[in-house]
Amino acid sequence: MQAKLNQNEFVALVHEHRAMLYKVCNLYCTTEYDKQDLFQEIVIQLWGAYPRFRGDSKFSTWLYRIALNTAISDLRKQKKYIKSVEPELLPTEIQDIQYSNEKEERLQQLYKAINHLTEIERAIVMLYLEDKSYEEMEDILGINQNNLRVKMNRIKEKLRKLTKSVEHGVR
Amino acid sequence: MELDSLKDIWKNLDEEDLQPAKEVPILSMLQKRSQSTIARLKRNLNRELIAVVVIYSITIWYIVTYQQMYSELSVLLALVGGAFLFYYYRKSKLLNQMQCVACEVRSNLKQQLVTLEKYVLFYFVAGTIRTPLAYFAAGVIILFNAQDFNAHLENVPVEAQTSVSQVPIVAHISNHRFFVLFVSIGAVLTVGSYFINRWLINKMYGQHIQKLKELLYQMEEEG
Repeated sequence: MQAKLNQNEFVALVHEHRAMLYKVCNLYCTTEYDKQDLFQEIVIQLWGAYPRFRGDSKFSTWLYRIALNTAISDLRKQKKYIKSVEPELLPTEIQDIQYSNEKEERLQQLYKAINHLTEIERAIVMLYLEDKSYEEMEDILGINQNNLRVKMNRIKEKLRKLTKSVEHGVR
Repeated sequence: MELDSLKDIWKNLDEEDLQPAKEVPILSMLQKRSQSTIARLKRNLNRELIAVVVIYSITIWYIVTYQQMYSELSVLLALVGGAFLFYYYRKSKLLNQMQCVACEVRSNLKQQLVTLEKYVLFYFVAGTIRTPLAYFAAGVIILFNAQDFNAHLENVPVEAQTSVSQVPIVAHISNHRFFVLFVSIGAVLTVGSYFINRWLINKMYGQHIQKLKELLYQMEEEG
């Protein structure tokens, strides 16, 4: 009875935070199949760790840790996960997509640029976009705040350059 | 593209922008098995344990029941089986320590790397010594059980024979050519086992270890 209650409680919690999990999957996977696969693996890992969650940290921090640990450190399907590629190597059909609206276009630009980042940089960008404080980022990633700030500046610069090269090289 | 200008879009992404085309109910996911590397290694190790226990039990039972003159071999198999249990215990313990999924990403990566390196070293040492050890032990037992062990003493007067010279292994080992051949094959097996295991382990875990090192380097790199 208690187990069933926990299970329902867990499903409700995951359901509530599923947008965040989808974002992790979108950042680390390209194909629909891989995204679903990673989502399922994260849910299984969350479920396995759930009985040990005692609320020492915020639920969202715990969730981010498990999602990112699963996406980054488990290299079981490395080939299928996104690898950094040079802009000129992007398939033409991806380069020439006409986006239906500005929001989607900018989002696609973001995803395209993020594809050029390393796994760790992607995690930092995601937490930054989620408006996490550097303190929370440190708590999730284990990188000290000064180092995070420096990395964040580097990433921004890298993204700026990447966008320019995509604009000049592709369009 | 300014990252800050994308924050609003990112935070206001709709469910439909994110969710996969075919959504699977979360509850049904809980019934599935993890496909992570560590989970699969654990399952393989458990299958290995079951296979070894079954094969060893049948072999020892057969040797003891039908091949009584080779009972030493069953003792050897039991010893190797005992060694395997230790091997299973050690590997299982390392696999359980290998990941801390709810820890900070950096400490989880570090833990994975350190434990995986220990696991690989243990796997390598155990795999390398297993083949030559089994070869020499089996060779010694077979020599002790050789049927014609006293044939060379046929023409030797009884008073000239010593109890030691009647032990079959002495008879064979004293045969220089046989001894050299036996040891040479053992040496080739040992060296071969070393290189095969090194290649195999590098093929199975080398890339994974390298990737973990790269990830840690990216995290620890100052600015």
